[in-house]
Parts: sequence; structure tokens; C-alpha cells
Amino acid sequence: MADAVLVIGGGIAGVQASLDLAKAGAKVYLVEKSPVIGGRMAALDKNFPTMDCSICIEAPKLSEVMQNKNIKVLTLAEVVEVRGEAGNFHVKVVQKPRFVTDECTRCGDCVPACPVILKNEFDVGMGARKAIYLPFDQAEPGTYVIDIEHCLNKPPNYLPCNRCVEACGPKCIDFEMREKIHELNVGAIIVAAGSDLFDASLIPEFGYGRHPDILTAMELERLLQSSGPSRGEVIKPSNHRHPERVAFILCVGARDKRFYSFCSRVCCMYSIKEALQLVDHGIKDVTIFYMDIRAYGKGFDEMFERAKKSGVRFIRSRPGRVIPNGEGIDVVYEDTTTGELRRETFDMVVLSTALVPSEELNRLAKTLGIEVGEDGFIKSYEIDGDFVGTSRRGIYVCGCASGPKDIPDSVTEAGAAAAKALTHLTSRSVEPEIFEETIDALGEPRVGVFICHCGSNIAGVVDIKTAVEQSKKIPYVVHVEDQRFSCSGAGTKHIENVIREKRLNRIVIAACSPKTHSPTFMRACARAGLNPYLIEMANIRNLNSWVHKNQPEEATRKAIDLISMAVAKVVRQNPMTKLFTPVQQKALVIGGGVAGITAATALAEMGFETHLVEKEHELGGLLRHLKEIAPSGIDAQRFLQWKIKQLERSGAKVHLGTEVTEVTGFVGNYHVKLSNGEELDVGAIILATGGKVHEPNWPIIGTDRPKVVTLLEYEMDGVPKDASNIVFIGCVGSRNLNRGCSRYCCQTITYHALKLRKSGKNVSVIVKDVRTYGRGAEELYRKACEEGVRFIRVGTEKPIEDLVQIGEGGITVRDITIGETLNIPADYVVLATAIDPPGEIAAAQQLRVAKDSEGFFLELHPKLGPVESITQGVFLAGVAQGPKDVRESISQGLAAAAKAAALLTSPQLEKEPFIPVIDPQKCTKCMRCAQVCPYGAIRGELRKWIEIIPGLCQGCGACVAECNVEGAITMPGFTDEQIMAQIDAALAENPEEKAIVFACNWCSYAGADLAGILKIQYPPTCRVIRTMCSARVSQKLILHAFKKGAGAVFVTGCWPQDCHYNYANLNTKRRYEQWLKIIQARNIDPKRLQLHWISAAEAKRFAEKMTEAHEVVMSLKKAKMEVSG
Amino acid sequence: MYQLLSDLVKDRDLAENIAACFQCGACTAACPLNIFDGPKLSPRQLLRRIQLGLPVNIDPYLCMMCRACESVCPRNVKVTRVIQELRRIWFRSNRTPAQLTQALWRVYEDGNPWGYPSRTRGQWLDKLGSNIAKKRSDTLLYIGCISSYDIRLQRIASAIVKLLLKAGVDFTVLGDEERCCGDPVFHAGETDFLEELVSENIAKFNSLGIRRIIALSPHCYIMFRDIYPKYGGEYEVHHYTEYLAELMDAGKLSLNAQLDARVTYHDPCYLGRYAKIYEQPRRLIESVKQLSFSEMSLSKELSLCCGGGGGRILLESKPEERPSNMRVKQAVETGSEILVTSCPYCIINFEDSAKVQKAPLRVMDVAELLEAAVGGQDG
Repeated sequence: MADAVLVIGGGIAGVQASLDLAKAGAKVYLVEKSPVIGGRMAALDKNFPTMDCSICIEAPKLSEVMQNKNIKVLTLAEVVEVRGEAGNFHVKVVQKPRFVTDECTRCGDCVPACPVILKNEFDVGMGARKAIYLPFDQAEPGTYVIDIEHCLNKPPNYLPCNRCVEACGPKCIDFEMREKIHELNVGAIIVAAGSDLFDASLIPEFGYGRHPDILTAMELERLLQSSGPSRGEVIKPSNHRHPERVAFILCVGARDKRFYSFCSRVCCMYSIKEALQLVDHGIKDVTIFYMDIRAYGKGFDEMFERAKKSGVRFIRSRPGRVIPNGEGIDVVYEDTTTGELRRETFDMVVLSTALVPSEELNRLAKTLGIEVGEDGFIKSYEIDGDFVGTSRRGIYVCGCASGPKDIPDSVTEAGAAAAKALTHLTSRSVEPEIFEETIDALGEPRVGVFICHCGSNIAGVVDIKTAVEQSKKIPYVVHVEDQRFSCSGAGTKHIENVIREKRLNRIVIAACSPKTHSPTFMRACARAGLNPYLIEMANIRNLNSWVHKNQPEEATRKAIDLISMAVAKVVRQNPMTKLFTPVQQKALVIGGGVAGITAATALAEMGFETHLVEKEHELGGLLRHLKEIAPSGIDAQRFLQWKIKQLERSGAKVHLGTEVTEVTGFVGNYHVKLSNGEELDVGAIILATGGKVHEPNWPIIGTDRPKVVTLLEYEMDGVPKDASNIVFIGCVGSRNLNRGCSRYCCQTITYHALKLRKSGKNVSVIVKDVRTYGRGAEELYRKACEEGVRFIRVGTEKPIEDLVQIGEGGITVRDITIGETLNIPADYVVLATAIDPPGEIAAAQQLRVAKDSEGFFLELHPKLGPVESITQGVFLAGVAQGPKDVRESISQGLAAAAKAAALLTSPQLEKEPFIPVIDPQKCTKCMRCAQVCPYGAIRGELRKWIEIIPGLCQGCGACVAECNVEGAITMPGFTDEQIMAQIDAALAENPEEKAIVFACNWCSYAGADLAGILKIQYPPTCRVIRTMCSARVSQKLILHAFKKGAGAVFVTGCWPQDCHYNYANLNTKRRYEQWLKIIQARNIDPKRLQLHWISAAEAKRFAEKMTEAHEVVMSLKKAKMEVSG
Repeated sequence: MYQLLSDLVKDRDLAENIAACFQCGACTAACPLNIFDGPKLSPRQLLRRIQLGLPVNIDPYLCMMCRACESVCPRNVKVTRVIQELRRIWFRSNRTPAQLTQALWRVYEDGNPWGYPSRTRGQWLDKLGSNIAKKRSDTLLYIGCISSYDIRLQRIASAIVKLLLKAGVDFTVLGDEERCCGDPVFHAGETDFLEELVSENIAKFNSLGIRRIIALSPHCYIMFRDIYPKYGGEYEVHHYTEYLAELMDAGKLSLNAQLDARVTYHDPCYLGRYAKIYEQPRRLIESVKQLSFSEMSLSKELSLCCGGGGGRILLESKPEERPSNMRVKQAVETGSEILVTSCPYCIINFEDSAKVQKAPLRVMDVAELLEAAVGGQDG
């Protein structure tokens, strides 16, 4: 009946759910109560642990939502009534008037005219706004809004102010706008209404409100943001000076029986993030007061270590008093690891406030008729709900509305809720976007250059004015301008208009990385009527301003070079059209654990033919060995039976005792061979291959007492009746040099410890920190304490094996909170062992799914792409991507299903048109190109005929680099002519002082981007040229660079096993040996030509290699000077 | 000793209290004792030692029972309950400071811990001229030991009597018949005599038909409110500031008082953190016209103990280790001329400290301030 879903809340969870739904063919109504979408993520400066600029990675999603034809965004809107049932809800939404029409051009002339000055909620009151305003620069929708409550025209207005109406050129302010009522018919509802921040003034001892320099973390976040109220300067509100000593206090409002008992889950990490940023701002003295550091996520412990190494002081203590002392702010605390009582003076104190349920959430729950949990958040159900279902069928919850969550967990849950919602729809369809190309691209190039300030991210280093002036001198450039945020809705709209007005037929955007932002600008071109391939990005942020922040002059020169290179390339670019390949609308899920079962069920329920392959003869994976699921304690086996029944009902085909032996093909068209001889053709693959339980290597003295078992053994056998002293030991195999936190263990052992304690046993739990972060887990921890379970903290400096001794009859351990060595009698010791990554999986290897440093599968993006792998069409679910508990595995299983559904919904798939073209006149049909093609996409017969099969070609360019017949084979988008023009532009001035760096799109270029994100500084010598694969780099290009005088040429690419083109880069390695011989024959020092493998994660390595390139260039210069001197 | 300590965890409620602590240390940082270079008290370490069954090396009589620690505890641990139990154990093993055990004998013999003769307890009434002690009423104004005998503090008693009379309240006082409420006995950790004393008091109150008690001292107030019900003494208990504020709100007490002075107010622990009575005394103070009122840097929940709680008023502490010194300094910092409070122990301690520091500060009880302001206008 229904083809639509209602999503309530326009934060990142709501946005992601909407996109996942829309891409899978659902109609979406996105209802947001505030004037703009983006939620809290838009107000954050950086994200942990990647240190990505938050709005930079969110903004493309926001504009995608606005532009998606399947999504209707209703801002200033609230749901007031819900009738009906799952599959057929009737929803009434009231939308308040904006008083500004869509014709608003965002000129901003109304703002100075408005006489009303108010606190800007977006800046949490740190900045001001007017009664007519836009909360932030990149806001979507970008139309201004009038806050009628504070507007002087608020009815009944006997004396209208009307100043804005007069100031508005296009006359788009309309006080006659009235409230609208929307009656919607939807099949499912997703609640993504988010949370509130705790009001810090409720805790008197922390002194919030008694001194201006006692801030909340959100207030500091706004100060840190380059477009925030202090333009990115960390200043004390009291005197606008930089602070020198800053203290963070964690758990403000959370883990506190007086206020909220739950753990707010994100505060540890956002505080560490902010602390690192302060260090980056030159503040040396940063202290974090914590109770437990809950760095449970992927890469979190690493970031915690990084913070310690950069000098951030971590003190395990909750201060008892924060007292302004006239000059500074005194913090009184007891260091719980030394027992020392101290009073220290700081000049800024940051309160890391908790995410708490809002009043509105409660109201919304009433309107929707769904239950709220004891913690005040929306209650979610395991059975029948897969942890995202609410008490009413057809209504799902995701993100912070069901408890505090970080961005990746919210995004994953959003996908999960979307997958569940899709099962209620009766029809789905995706309408392809069609743009008419009205601008002639074949005449003389007319290039427009748009230089983005990115707030102060670029403009704070690069002299924009000079860049604009210099860019005007580049051949074919007819228009140059700078913009505050090119990527914002208004920014792209402006670009669109300029393209039309000035009849531009080539565009250069000098801003950030094409990897993240080119889709945004390509769409802008398409909307303007220009072929979307006629745009090129100059990455003057990640590759320049972020990494050369102390060399503004060099960075400005480099920015101009990068712009010239982009112009040189784009003027030689021809229009291209996306290719379409057919999609096998079927899915394969590898792994029959809880994540795999969930993913397969969801996909089959959506109507896709789905195959689930499990190597064991039984379904269930690790869940088969559990008795109860912590922290809620539901019966694991009953739950598993329910999951298996759902799977059977869904119609998914299950292949037990079977393994995938071979996978060939590419996104949309995988050919899979199974060990039972069956063969499948599928469009998408979900890897849910789980992990391995860590085998502990504990130095145990040969004794019967205590008996030492692993948690899994304990789950299966339980504790013998005569054992009365039981000790759990956490972090076994986790949190050491090689591994981070295993996530599941703390809450699991707390659950079992409590249960045993209740049955009268003496129970101790030995851990590094108590990381009960999950919903209900902190409450469980409190209960366990109250019942008398003894938690013993042993510090974090060494692996747990070195901190705890298991001896005859007991355990010896030093409790850091009392500083004494304890002898704990023990009859039975349970080791909470880590989850190790799965062993080698043939299918994953053949699919080239990359792994992270710990050996788990690497996700596409840690924040916004947690269930996609780097290989297109391959998705990740469950422990295979990193340790997680049942709830999180299910959530990922569903989210992966939603992503796969989006891919499989359409019978054909868009494909980049980077397919080489053979000129039959010039080609000698020597077949050398065919020999190096990793996909067998070139067919022919020696000297007779040759052809390229576009369906098989993946666009690496190895063939082009192999050909030595001038002009016989070219690769659109990456022609010799284009790359040579880039080299020429880069080396136009002082070529000997520059290094040409070839970087592959997937690894080394991504690594370079990451170096920018992490602000790893290196010398500004390099000029990066991006190709899809290092195999595209040919002898001709190398020699051309040296001919033009390049000081050095560095070729970089993926490590061979990570190559995205089936080891195409082994060609690069082979060729490199030859190039060295050739240049040596020409008396070129071989040091000047280097080949390096750099993965997407190896930002530091990229920076090191760039420093080495700089040294090569410098030594060359020195040698020359010696010769001439 | 250890035997006794292990008793602690047998009481389920108490055991839960001790076990709930997750060792954050906020309590230690909030403890007023730890401001000074004297003996320190870490409730956190104390709780941890009991949790782990390690010997307790902390003197429970150091604690002033001010509950500053409890008010910041994120796990809602009742530290003073634990301390009280430790004192009980200490008493049974003869480790109670001699000054406190002596005070118990004085309560036993003279009905007050200071050793004043019981027959002079009602002498303060003579100056009043009206013999309310003879009156029969179901409402008792309970004066307490120190305010009955100490000439300085007797002024508070008379001020309250006058204010109550002005409001037309029907009440009585016990005069010579009044005996210690039991606060020092309770805080010493003694239990048998406490039961005897409290039971006798209850019997007397009941024989007089007392249903409502208005206490002058917050310490007596908390005894009547929290301890007496355990021995069967259920009364409607008020602190006088709370009662007067109620009368004022109901329009029964209109003072029309006025005083040109700068004042600040100190929240006594037993009134503030124990009973959450923060607003009523302030309302009374602010009813005085022309008064300029300012808060100290630490007030209400954060108020600093004067040092007299938990029986500490009976024990000596070194002049440089008295929390009252710090409090007087904070009061002076506000620029106030008068430090107003509503507890006789606080008044004694603050006047002492103000004298030692030669601080230009008068210390007054709320009732005194009101009476002076009314008188000021009359004169």
C-alpha cells in the first residue's frame, strides 16, 4: 500500500536513514523541527578518531538529501498525530512558516537590517544571530529563516518593523506565510530525533555559570571551529586571551545517580579529541580528569595513546570542587592513583557534558505511542525488533534517540532502521536523474576557477587574494572568484549560476579533496547544463594549507601551481558519459553468525534472492556458545532460534557446511563458486565472516586451583558448585601493543559477575578500565558494585598478563586506587579473551578487501562508511569489521543489508567512463596491453584484431602505460596529454626545486588526504598528480618530468596486496626497475626517481616520503651550488 | 577490631552503600578538612579499604559529618552513615576521644555536654519577663544545651521567643526541664545511653502532649527529625527559620524590619545539606528592608562547614586548622559587615575566628538580625 517512510529528525542518523531508504527506492519524508538539517554533527569541529572536519564530511550528505528526488525535507515541522499500523500509517505533520521563500539568494542583506540581536543556538550561545538568520554557513536548506518569536513583526504588530522586507532585493520575505499541515501516508516510521545536552549548571560543585571560562565541551567545540564565533581561536571568554592551562572534567551529568545513571558513551573520546586539538593550538598544559577512559571503538585506544604521547595529562579523579579564585579557576581533586589531594589552578575548565534525553523526545514518544525506557530514551526491543524496533510495530529508532551514540554507531543504526523500514513497503522505485547538457564544451575552453576559503582552513594559510590574481593569468581562465564555502548549498548554487551566466565550459574548484567532494561539484555542473566531467579539483587544503600551515608563502605558491595544473588538465578534458553495467539483483552473505543471519534475512525480506554461505554445519557463529546476552540478559539460544526462524521465513537460501572457493567479477556482477560445486551470480556481497576467540597465552603455574578458563568456556560450562571465590580478568589479548579494546568483554563479565554474586559467590573483576558503555551496561555495573562485586583497576601501562599473577589458590594484583598489592583467593578464574580477526578468507582476498592494522576488514570511512568496504559492492557486517557485541553486530548486519539493497534495487549500475580507447589506425596489435590487463578486458589476435570489453575494464590504465606506440591507446580523463600538461604547469617555475609525485586514487592519494586531516606537516616541495592506479604511470611521463627539470619524481601506490586492480601495480614495480636503468644511462641520479607503497591509512608514511623527496631536491640544489661555486 | 569491621558489611543497606563506591575521589576533594595542612580524610580510601577488607587507618572522629562529600557523590554513597557505624565500633573498642566520653558523662549527670548545672538551664527565661515555660501547648520551642547556657547565644533564644510571640504562636519551652537531645551521645557512637536518653525525652514530650517541635539548633532539629522516630518519637519537626518563613508567607508574621547593612549568609550543614533548607533563611533575611545581601563564593550545597558538626564542637582542633577561619575570610571577601547564619555552633566558631583574625565582621543569627532590624526601626 505504502511506498514511503517517515524519518523524524534531520541529524546525521536521520540523514543517513533517508539516504539509505531513498537509494533503495523508498520515498522519504524527512521531518526536522529546527530550520535546518545536519543536527549536532554540523556544529562539531572535528570527528574522532580520524580528525576529519565534521561539516566537511557531512555537508555532501546534506546536499545529497536536498537534491535526492525521493526525499522530501520538511523543516520547522513536527509530527502531531499518528494513526494506522505498520505498512499503512497516517501521519499528520505541522510545518511552521519560514517567512522567507525559496527564491532567497542568501545575499545576507537582510541581516544587517534586522535590529534584533539574539544568542545563536547553533553556537550554543557563544555567538550572536539576528531574528532573520541562517544558523551556519553550509546550512541546508540554505534559505534564511525568521525567528518569529523574537521578530518585531510578531503578530499582533501594530507598528511593523519590516526593515528586512525593505532590505531584501529579490523580495522573498513574506510575513503572510501560514502554518502548513501535511497528511502523509507511510509504511514505516524511523525516529532519529537525537538527544539533548546536559545542563551543566545543575551540578553546583563544577561551577558552571560562575565564571565565564568554565565552558561546556560543546562551547569549546564552537570556539575550535574555524567558522565559529572566535574564527577557530581558542580564547577565554573572560578576556579573549589564549588559555595556557586547560582542564577537562568527564562524566558531567552521566554515570551520576543524582542525574543520569547511564554512560554517555561519547564524552571520553570527544574530550580526548578536543584535548589533542588544544595541543595542536599550542596549549601545552592540558589535563583530563576521568573515571574510566572508554576508548572502546576502532582506533580509539590508539588515539588515547596518541593523546598521552602528545603530553595530555590524564588524572583518574572526579574533582569535588571547581572554584573561581579571582584570577584563575581552582580545581580541587584527589588523584586516585596516588591518594594525593591537590588544588590546581587552571585558566579554562571544560565540562564534558552528557547526551541526555530531551523533553521533546518524551512528547514525541507519546504522539507515536511508543515506550520510553527507564533512562528516558526510546525503548528498543531485541526480539521482533533487532534492537532498532520500538514497542509499536513499524516504528523504528536509531541514533541518540535510543541512547547516546557516536557518529559511526548512529550511522550504522540508521542503516539498520532503514533496512527494517524497507520491509514494510509494497513498492520501491528509483528515478534516475537526467540533466540536459546545454553548454557547448567543444569550442574554445572558457575556464572558471572557484577558490574556496573553507572558513579559515584554507584562507588562514593561503593568501586567497594573490591566488585569485595569479589564477586570472592562467591561459583559458575567464572567471576567477573566491567563496567562503564552495561546497555549501548556496556555494554550489552560485557556481551553477556563474556557469550559466558566463557560459563557462570548464571548471576548476580549488578546495579540498576530489575523493570526498567531486560528486558534489559534478552535480552542480550537471544542473547548470555542463558535462560533469569537465570539472577538476585542485586540492589546496588536504595537500596544502593543512600540511604547510607554517609556510604561508610557499603554500600560496603551491596553491597557484595546483590550480594551474588543474586548469591545464581540464582544458584538455573531453565530455564523457557515465557507463551503465547490468546488475545481478541478488545478494551473497558470507558467514552465518548473527550478523550474517540478520543481513540475509533483511535482504530476502526486501525481495532479493539472497544466499547465505556458512562453513560450519550449523548457523549461529559465536552466539551458539552464549547462554545470555549482556547487558539485558535475554536467553541467547532462544534469541538465536528466533533469528533462524526469521531467516527461514524470509526465503533466503542457506548453504551450510559450504565455503566460497572463488569469486571473480566486479560490483554488480560477481561470479561465485562454492565448495559444494554450486555457482552463483550476485551483484553484492556481504562479508560477515566473524572473528576468532583469542587463545590466551597465560603464564600459569601448574596447579588445579584455581581453575583457569576462558569466558567462552565459562559460558558453556558455568562455575562448579564448590567454587566460591571467582575472579574475572578482562583485557586478555586486548589493549596491548597490537590490539585495541574488544568492546564486548566489560559488559559481559559485569553481567556474569553480578549474576554469580547474586547466587552468593565472592566475585572480583580485574580490569584496566571499566568500559560499560552500552545501553543499560553502566546501570548493570552500578548494580554489580552495590551487590558487592569487587572491581579492581590495574592501570593501563602494560598488558594485563604482566599486571596480574595467577598463583596457587589465588591471584596477586596491585589495585591502583589504593596502591596496595592484594592477594585475592580464587577457586575459579575466568579470562575475558579478546576477539581476534578472522584468518585469511579466500573470498575476501580475491575481492581485495583491505584490512586495518589489527587485521579486521577496513571500512570505507570510519565515520560515515562503517559497513562499506573499500571494494565497491562488498559490504561488512559484524565482528569481521572489528570486535563488537550482539547488538552492534545485528545493527551492522542490517545496515549492510540496506547498503546492498541500494545497490541491487536498480537493474543497472553507473560506472565511471575511464575506459581506454584504441586507435585502430595507430595500433599495431602487438597485444602487449592485453598481457598486462588484470581483468582480461582486452581481446584480440596478434597483428590481426583487438578490442576492449568495457564491462570487464575497471579503468586502471596499466594497458596505456604499457603501450609504446604514440597515440595508439588513450585513457579518457587521464590522457598522456593531460598528465604532461599537468607536469608542465607544475614545473613552469623553478622545476629543480619541485618533486612530481604520482599518487594512486585509492591508497597513496587517500594517505595524502589523511596526512592533511591529521595535520602532519611536511615540506611544500611536492606536486601531486592523481591517477586511478600507479600502473597508469608510464616511461613517457617519467622522462617528460625529468626533461622538464623536475628535482625528483616519486611514484606512489597501494601495497601490492591492497591494489584495487588485481595486482596491476606489480607492473609499476617491474617498470620502475627499467626506468632506473634508463635514467642512469642519462646520468640522472637514481635517488631522484623513487617508488613507494603507501596505504590509505599511512598518512605519516606519506609525509615522511614527501620529506625525503624534499631532501633529495635539496641535496640536488646543494650539489649544483657546489659545482657552480 | 576486624571482627567488628566485618559486621559493617552484614548490614545489607550499609554494605550496599560501601560497595557502591567506584572510587572517583570527588568526596575527598569536597571534604573541608582537606583544605588545611592538618590530618586528612579520604572517604574514598576509607571505603576502598573496607571494600577490600584492609585495616582502616582513619580516625572516624575527624569527620564533621557535614555531608559535603555526600552532596558530590555520583553513586549516592552515604558516607556519614559509614562513619557513624565506624564510631560505634570505635566506641565499643574504647577508642573514642576522652573529651567526647567525658561529655557523655556530663550529659548523664547534668543533662548537657558542657557540665553546666541542670537547675540553671532555664535562667535565660528570667530576662524575658514572661514565663512561657509554665504554659501548656502542643508546640515546643526546643532551645538546646548551648543556647540555654551561653550568655551570647541566649540572645538567639530570646529573639526567637519574641518573634514567635509577635506572630501569635501558641508554644511552650521546657526551661530547667529541658535535657540534651542526644546529639553528642549519638555522634560519640554510644548506643545504650542514647536509647535511654532519647526514650526519656520522648516520654517527657508525650506526657506534656507535645506534637510539634521547633528547634533552635539545626543539630537538635536533625536529631528530632531523623533519630527520634527510630525510638518511637514521631513529631512534626521544624527548624525555626523554616517555621518563621512559613508564618511570614502566610501573612501571620509581618516585621516591617529595616537595617542599613551589607550581609551575607552561611548555610549550616545540618540545615542546608541535611535538610535542603536553603531558601527560607534567605527569605527571612531579604525581608529586611535596605539590607544589601550578597552570597559567598561557596554557598548552599557547596557551603563550608564551620568545624562544629558531628560532635566536633566538643573536641579541640588547632586554631590554624579550623574551617571557620576560611569561612570568615570568604565572608569578608564579599564586603559584608554581618555574617548571618542559623546555627549556634556556627556562631561560636565564626566569632572565635573573626576575633583571632581581627576581621571587621559581626556574626549574627537570623533571628537576632530580624529582631535587631525590627528594634532598629522602633528606636
